[in-house]
Amino acid sequence: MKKIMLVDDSATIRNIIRNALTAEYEVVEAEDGVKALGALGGSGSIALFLLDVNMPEMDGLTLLGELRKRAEYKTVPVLMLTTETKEEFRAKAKELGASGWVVKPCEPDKLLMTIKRIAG
Amino acid sequence: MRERNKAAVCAAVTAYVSAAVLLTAAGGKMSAANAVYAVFAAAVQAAVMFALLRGGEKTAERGPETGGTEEKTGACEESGRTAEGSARSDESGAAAEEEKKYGSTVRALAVRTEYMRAVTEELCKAIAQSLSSTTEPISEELLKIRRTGEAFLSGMKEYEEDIRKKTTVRRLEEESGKFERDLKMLSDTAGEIFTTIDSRMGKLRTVSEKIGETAGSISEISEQIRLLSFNASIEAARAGKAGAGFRVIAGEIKKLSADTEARLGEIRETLKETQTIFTDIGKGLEENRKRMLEVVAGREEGFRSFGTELEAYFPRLEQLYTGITGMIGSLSKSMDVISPVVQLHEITGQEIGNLGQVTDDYCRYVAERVKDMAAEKAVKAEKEEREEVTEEIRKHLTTESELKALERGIKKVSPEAQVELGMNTCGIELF
Repeated sequence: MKKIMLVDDSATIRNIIRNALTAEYEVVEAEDGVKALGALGGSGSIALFLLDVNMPEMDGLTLLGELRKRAEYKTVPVLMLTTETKEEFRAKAKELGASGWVVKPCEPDKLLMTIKRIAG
Repeated sequence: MRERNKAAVCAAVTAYVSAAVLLTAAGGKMSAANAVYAVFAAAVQAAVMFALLRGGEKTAERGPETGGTEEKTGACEESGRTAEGSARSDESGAAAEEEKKYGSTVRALAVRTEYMRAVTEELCKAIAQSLSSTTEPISEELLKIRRTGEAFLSGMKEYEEDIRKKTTVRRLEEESGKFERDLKMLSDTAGEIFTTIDSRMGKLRTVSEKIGETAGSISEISEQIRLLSFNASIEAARAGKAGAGFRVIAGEIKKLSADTEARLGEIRETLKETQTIFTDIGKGLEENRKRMLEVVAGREEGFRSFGTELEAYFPRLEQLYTGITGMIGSLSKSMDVISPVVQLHEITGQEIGNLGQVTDDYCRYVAERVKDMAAEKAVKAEKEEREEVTEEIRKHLTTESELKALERGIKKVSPEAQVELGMNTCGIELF
């Protein structure tokens, strides 16, 4: 089963998204950017990242920048999953190399379809 | 001074009224939106009151400013009239001085507060609306889940005792145990039959070999007889008086005939043996057949009762299965309904946090302005003030609902204002 890393500071959102994806993907979770980077070593190969934008310690855009600096994650698809509707954040994410932008709340089956399209 | 005291008194009265409104809301006579706004309004007014009173204390500490020494007049009345006129001109001078020092701050605060009040009112309304729109569907779905669970349990109540004591399961276990033992017996019996047949087949093989050998001898003999007949016919052709050769031949034929008789005797004996073997096999098979029939007959009653138990149990199993799959289906449906609503509920919590940051910023702004009260900062034009407050609030907001509330709030104060929200409303976008 392909692996997806989900990074969001809300446990409720992580529960909902995990339940939507768990039948088709193995889901690895972290509650902020720092913990996500820490978990990467022992997680094996990640097929797609799902990142929230507004998080404590390290926000999603900073994490995206860090991932794109690493050779093994340079081309791995990254979907920003966020409440953020301000255009400047979306533009910044696109500039940093995000693959897509998903605004919360989202319907779980639509999110799953989008992920399948990108990650297979 | 009088202006400042008036403002402080007004702020205090407003704070008191807001607290009273909040208590009324607690008694359930007010909507959630107005209650949230009332709390915020009380906090803002208290912040303003505090800032203004602190400004008053600082003025009191500094004391009145004095110029050079004044000459006193001689007569009391004249001095009194002069003193009174002098006091009045002192008062209006001081007022003008204070107006000059503090007016710009108060005006700036007034403009900022006006925008803040309108925007936070809209934000609170949006939050309250989100809360009520999410709480109701979640409660409804939870009720549905509870009703489904209760219906399932009441359906199962009939079998509760049976399930608890596992009566049927134990009976089925017993019957299936017996069934297993009988099957073993049948299979052992069949095994014995095959062993018996196998050993008999060995004997049959030996017998058929003997028959084969004998048949071989007989064909040798018949070949010899043929040759002899041939020779006899030759001799007969040459005979006449010399019949001696014929006699020899006849003697040989007799011997051969005796041999043949002996071989046939052997074959007869062998066939008898074969018959005995087949009879034995037949007897053995018959015995085992009877045994198996006895076992099966004995199990018939057991099978019938097993079948009856299963027949009674299957509808229950079916009902249990249908109940469970129905409940799982209903739960899945409820989760599908709840999921986006729960996300929205979670997002509303985030919006409340954002509102807290907005009011935090505002209180900091008030405190800084009051600190710099005497610095006589120039009052910004309203457009500039509006743009500044819009951007400061906007940086804390994230969702479409919040940004639209900001727009509504700004336009309430300045209907002609053009508010740049810089909002992206695309739900899912792939780059």
